[in-house]
Amino acid sequence: MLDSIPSSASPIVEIRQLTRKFGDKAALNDLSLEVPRGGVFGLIGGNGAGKTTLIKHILGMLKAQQGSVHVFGLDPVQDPVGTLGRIGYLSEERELPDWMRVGELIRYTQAFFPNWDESYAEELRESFDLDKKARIKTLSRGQRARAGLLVALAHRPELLVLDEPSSGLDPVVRRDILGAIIRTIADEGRTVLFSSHLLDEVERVADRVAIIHHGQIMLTASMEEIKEQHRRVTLRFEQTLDRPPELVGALSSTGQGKEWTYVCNGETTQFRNAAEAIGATVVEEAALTLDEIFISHIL
Amino acid sequence: MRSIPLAMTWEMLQRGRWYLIAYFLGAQLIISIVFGALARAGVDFEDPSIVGVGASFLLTYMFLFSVGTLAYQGPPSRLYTYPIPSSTIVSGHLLVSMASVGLQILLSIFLMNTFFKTNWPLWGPTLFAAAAVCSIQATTWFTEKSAWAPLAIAVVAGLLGFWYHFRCGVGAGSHRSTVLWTSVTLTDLGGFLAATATSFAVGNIAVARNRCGEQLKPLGIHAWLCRVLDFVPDEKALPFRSPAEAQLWYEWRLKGWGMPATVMLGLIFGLAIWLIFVRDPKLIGTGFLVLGGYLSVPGLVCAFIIGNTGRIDTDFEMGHFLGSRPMKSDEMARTILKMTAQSLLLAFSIWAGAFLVTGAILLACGFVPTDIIPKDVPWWSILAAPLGCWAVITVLASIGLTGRPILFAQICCAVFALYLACLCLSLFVLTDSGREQLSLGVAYLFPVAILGVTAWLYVTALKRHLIGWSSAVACALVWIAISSLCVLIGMQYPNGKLVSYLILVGLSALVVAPIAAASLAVSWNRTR
Repeated sequence: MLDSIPSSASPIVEIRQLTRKFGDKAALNDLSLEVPRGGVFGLIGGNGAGKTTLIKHILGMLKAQQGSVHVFGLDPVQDPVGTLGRIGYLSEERELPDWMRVGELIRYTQAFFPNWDESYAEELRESFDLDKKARIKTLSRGQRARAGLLVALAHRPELLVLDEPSSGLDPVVRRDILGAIIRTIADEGRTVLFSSHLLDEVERVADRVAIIHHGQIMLTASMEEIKEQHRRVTLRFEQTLDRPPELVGALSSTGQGKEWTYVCNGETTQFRNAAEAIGATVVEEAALTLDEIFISHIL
Repeated sequence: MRSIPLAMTWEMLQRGRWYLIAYFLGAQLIISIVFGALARAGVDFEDPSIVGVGASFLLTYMFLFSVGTLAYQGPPSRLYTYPIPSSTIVSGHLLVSMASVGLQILLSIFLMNTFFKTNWPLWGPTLFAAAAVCSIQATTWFTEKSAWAPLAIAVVAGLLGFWYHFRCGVGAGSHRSTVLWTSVTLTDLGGFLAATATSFAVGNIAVARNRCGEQLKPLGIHAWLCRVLDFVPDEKALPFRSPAEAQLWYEWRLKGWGMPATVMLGLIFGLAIWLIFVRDPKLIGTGFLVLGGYLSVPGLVCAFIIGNTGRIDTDFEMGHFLGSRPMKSDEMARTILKMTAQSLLLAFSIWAGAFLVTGAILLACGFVPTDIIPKDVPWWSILAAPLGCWAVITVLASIGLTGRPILFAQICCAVFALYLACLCLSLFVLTDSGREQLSLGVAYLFPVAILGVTAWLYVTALKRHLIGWSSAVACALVWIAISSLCVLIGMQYPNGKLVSYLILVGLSALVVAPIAAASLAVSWNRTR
């Protein structure tokens, strides 16, 4: 599902009809997605939905079996220097060479990025409380994530790709560090693409969201649009019902007896009219959390 | 599952059955290749002079099967949280490993006796192998995560080796070399039972202790060494001038030590052997030449260290960290090859430096050069040793760089099956002349296959822009130069045949093949 791009600039990531199979299992199935320049793009999905596989395609670690992937208008497989040189990446596993010291990691990574900002790197190192002499293998999970973030951020990448950045971070670190970095990057006109299944976090920082499920994009839109389009409407029927009636725009329903609660997608007027036509009255209408929207789409 | 031991055994076999099969087939391959060659040479395996060789090969079987068994069983720590007593964990592991190694030895000896008429005894080596594997396993558990482990394992392995040596007489002179454990005495049986019972007791103590996180008290030497050798980098070190320089530093720090460390260990080990057993100054030179000539053997292991770009030792698939470096795959491959060349250069420099110093000392002590370097050592071996080592390491490293160890294992199995088919054909179907034709055919096919694969690698790498035309031409010139040199050297020897020259030309291609192969391998591993 493709939606209109809010920015007039060409999308920073453009994926067309991407299919990837591992054996018989399709990890990505005819997936199309555009990530616009600027802002924070949240990629949400359950475990095994295809988030990491999608990110690996963006980084050129997986070749498209069908379809195409373009980052900055380039093919990341054909031009790893042109694409990866402009991307900051933090993997889900926080994979860093254990034998290196923090200082060595900084010095080593610096060589690959001409835009490396030494003073910014030092500022991040100090704010993350990382000792230059500490070996990576002696760092805690949180410190390891901070070290990974440092080398992903210090060259001020045009695109920051964070794969499940919250795992391993305690709530304080998540709120203070991740939120601040994501907002800073976005404010500077850069783009952040991050995957997560912690939806409260995505709701807090993302400008746009894509829901991925079974290798397909179920929904992609701005956070405001998503919130506006999805409502929880509780209906009261005149008679007791065993099963709720199917109504236009309804994604899911729960309840019993005379009261049934629907999750609606899109304009609710149509839904209300349909409900009134069969004699139901609207008892309550409320906004949904991203968590509820996500569940209503994938269940 | 009706019982805990049954469930444990099922789990072990499920998780590691491929290890079991791979090590069993690998051992059969190694030994049947050697015995196949010896059989073709008309060696009588019941000849007393060959008995010592048989004893050594039985030890090789035991070693490989034990390693395979320990690999497929995995650490007992995975069962620590299950509601089972430590004694069940111990007996579940030790009984399975004893049965597994014992049965493999029994089957292997049976196969050897059937195919090669070796007439090796069945029960002595089988019972010994079962007792040995449980002794080593219990020792390993007892010294788990402790600096005592190498010392304790060395002592137990030494005692077992002495026992085996006494009963099989490996290298123990003409009298004992005829002993091949043909009968199992009561003393032997007592020994097996004592070793097994001790292993079970030690294993129980070890697992009960390890289960609650207790370890043997450390010596402190390891911690001291770590402190002393923990090099703190210069904080004012200049930034790297290019990504390639940074990547070369990374590769060198991670893997470059392999070959130099091997040479250093070889020198120390060789010197210790010489001091204890030999003490003849005239044999020092021979020892050095053997070390230099056979550096390709430890190079086999170093190749898999160099060819591993994975996150962990057993995973060759390129990890996210390396895969996301903004660097071209061919450039990454070049840094790996450059590091390998530097590592080899340093290794041979250490070897040559030590040889020169030792030679100078011997000359100063009144020895003449012919005492130090044997006369029959050809001059070209000084070139062949490093080139051969380079070819072995880089070819195997290129295979590792593909990041597909299962594919490699499948190819090995296919080669093994092909070899066995040829062996069976040769032994049971073909006449003498047919056997000769088959050998000649394989001898022609081998270099042609190498040349064909090398050409394909270069064409593919050129098509994918992973190597430039200038590099390809330079590699071709190097290959022509080495081939010409090999042929010229070969012509100095009488009775040279066309097939011998073809083999030399084919082997020469292995020196340059990795230049294209490594780039293709890295690219294939990085983007899947």
